[in-house]
Amino acid sequence: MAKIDPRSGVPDLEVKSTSHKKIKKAHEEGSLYTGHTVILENPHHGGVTQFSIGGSTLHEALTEIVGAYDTNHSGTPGISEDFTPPGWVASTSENLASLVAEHYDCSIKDLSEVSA
Amino acid sequence: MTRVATGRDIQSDALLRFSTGYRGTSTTAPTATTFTTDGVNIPVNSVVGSSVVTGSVFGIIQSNVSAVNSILTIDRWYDVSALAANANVAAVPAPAAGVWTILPGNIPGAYMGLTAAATAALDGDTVLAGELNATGAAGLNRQLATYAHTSAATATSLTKTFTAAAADTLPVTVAQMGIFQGVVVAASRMIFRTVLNATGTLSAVGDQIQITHTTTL
Repeated sequence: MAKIDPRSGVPDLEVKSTSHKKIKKAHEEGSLYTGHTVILENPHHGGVTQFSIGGSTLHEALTEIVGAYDTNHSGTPGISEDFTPPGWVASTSENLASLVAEHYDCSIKDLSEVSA
Repeated sequence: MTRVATGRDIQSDALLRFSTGYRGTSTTAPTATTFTTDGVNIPVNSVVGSSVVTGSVFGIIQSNVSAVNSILTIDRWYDVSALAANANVAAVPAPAAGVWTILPGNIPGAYMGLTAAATAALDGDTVLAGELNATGAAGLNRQLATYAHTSAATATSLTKTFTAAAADTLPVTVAQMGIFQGVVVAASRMIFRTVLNATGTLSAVGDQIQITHTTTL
């Protein structure tokens, strides 16, 4: 379960320093991931969690995925012992898929293999 | 969280009202905020919240009059395959007259706005008083939030990480948020108005705040 900045509510991304640099650069460039789909396997519910990305940069989108999954979709809100990370991720964006997989240390599935 | 009166209307229409739609071919050129149905009479305000689609663009209907040529007032034109990321994204140009369709059901609400105002939310609220709406390179204006839902679960969340930018007036302490059906601050209808469980202060460009709105179905 990601650490959350108590002042901003933004979760810390647990990725390599090279990935942090890539995310920071993309954020500064302002490229948006609006409309991309991300699907996380959700062991807690025995199903999947689907995300539709809003008007978000790479950093914003990643923190929105992690924040929403950790807090609202992976166990009992506020009880870290109940947290269950996803087993895999699939996405219409290779960047989002690879960085979410890095954060959760999970595998990447091709969207064609997903039966939501 | 206050689900305002308009929000109840939107939820009802979106979930349970599978009404017949309308279609036709217009000859009157649409404007930035109006569409004339030309020969199709639609009962007054019966399609509010639905979308009028022509070509690859749509508008969210805010009101409609009943007449031989019903006139629809929309909030703006949206590209169906490239939704506006935030309030400062220019509207899609008005389409040419031609074949149009009004689909049944209401457009979902996933736009999130912020305000520093701390006034209590009321059932009859239609706007988020004092909504942050700086023009130009602003990061705290109304934004399309990231939607998440787990299959068969009860919770649906809208999450947005806002990043303060050069055009925002800083510092600002965010106290409330609203969820809207569209991106137009002066027009798009509000569904929820919520006093945050904790305020958040953004002091400098690059500061961030993440806000999540959770709805239990």
